[in-house]
Amino acid sequence: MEIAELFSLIFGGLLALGCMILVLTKNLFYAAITLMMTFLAVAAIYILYGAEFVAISQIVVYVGGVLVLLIFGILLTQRVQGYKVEVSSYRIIPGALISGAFFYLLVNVIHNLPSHSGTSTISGNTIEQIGINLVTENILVFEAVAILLLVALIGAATIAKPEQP
Amino acid sequence: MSTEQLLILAAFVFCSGLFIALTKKNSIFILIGIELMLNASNINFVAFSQDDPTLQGQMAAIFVMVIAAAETAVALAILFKIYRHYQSSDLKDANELKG
Repeated sequence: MEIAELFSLIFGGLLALGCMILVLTKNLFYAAITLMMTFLAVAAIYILYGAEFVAISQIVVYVGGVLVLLIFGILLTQRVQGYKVEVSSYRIIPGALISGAFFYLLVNVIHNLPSHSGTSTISGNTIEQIGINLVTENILVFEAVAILLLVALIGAATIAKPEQP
Repeated sequence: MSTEQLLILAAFVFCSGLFIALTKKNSIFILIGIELMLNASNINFVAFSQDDPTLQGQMAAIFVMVIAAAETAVALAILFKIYRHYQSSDLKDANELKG
């Protein structure tokens, strides 16, 4: 139990650090690499809180899919040669006010939540339970999401295709 | 970490994502902010499904992940189109309709 507590603090710290770096950095490529660190820290937190399947999906979908897409996007849309891939910011003060106020609101709400045991009661094989859930209770959502993914990917390919003369 | 600390961490991640999406000029950076916000919501789902043996929270987290992947693909396609048209990935330059 001690070791799990220690690791959750380490990975929570890594996640917070990654978010700070993402907010402060100007270099787009560093941001993409830092995003990988935050995704992996989130996956570790999932494992520590009893969601092994979600953690594996997080690594496969985010680190393996979304992040690679983002890096392709950076390489294709920035003039990398001879230029620095630096990004400037604007509206910093209103943005900080809005997100700070929202953070204050969320912290207040979290403090007023009814108290909670804080220990995980999930035990045994969560993957089996998730598989059964996917094809019984959540079959409609599963199919709808599958069709959505198909339509979205075909749509993305159609949008990005070069125009024919 | 207790559940409350985990929720506060997720709130911090969400607000960082919100700040990035509001203030950065580059369109891919804004996508990074949106991904952070989706991850924060997933942390909340997992945190709340700790006490639930039916794992509905984890199911929601998985569906959010699939939708995030679809959203990223479509958003990047639109960004490529914008980049090809305006030769810039700065969203302030994309300011005309049917230009």
